[in-house]
Amino acid sequence: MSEQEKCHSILARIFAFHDGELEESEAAEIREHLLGCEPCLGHFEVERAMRALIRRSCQEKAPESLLARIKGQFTPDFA
Amino acid sequence: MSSPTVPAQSGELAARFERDALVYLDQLYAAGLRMTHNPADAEDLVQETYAKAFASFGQFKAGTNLKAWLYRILTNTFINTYRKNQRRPQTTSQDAIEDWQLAAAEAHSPTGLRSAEMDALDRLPDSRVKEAMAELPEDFRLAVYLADVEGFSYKEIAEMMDTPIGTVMSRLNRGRHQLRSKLADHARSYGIRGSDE
Repeated sequence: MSEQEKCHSILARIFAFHDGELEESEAAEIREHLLGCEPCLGHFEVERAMRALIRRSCQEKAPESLLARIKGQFTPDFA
Repeated sequence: MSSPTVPAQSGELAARFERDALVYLDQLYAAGLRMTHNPADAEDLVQETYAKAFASFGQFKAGTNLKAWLYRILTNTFINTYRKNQRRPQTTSQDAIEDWQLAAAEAHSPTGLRSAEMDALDRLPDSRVKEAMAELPEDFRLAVYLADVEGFSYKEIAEMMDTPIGTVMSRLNRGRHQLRSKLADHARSYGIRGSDE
């Protein structure tokens, strides 16, 4: 496998690697490659930053009125 | 043996449900907002989710993942009820996605960002990310949200969306490439504008 093909094969699995969905042997292969390949490591870091950004941006606080509506569905009346 | 519907037991069940399930309210509401695109629908969706969850909470097996179970009800309710009534048209045709996918595969590095642009990525406003997310085709958006924001496994997402794992992986792959490509473009334009914002 050429250098370029190797990087391509690593990058094709970078999502699954990040997701923890690879077999340990495959994950080890990717970790080892990342340690020695700066461009691939760069892609990995970008992916990590993307995930942090997406997670941060999607935080919301539910309105108090919704909590009250939901509690009203299953809590016995206080009356 | 008493019936499972006697008041004392249902009161106990309600207390347990309130303690264990309501802690996910903010998260479910956030997911509902990304699904429906508007607060009123998101509130109705989440309320319906909790109503359904409470109705079958008696059968919920202790030790299974309560959060995943709630998300499964939320996703199902959204797909079966809300999706049918949506006014918003699908933003991208299937053909356009295929084309985009090919282009991305050829480019091989759709998000190659330099360090200044990485800083810009960190500073992107939430609204930009939400917009980019809203532009994804719905099935992609659901899969990406469940994986990227909530960190569910492929298997869990497959159960929630009622599709094979292979379909989840394909939706995730395409949706993530599309979303990251948009975010990288935004970061680049922020990076160029620099500190004059």
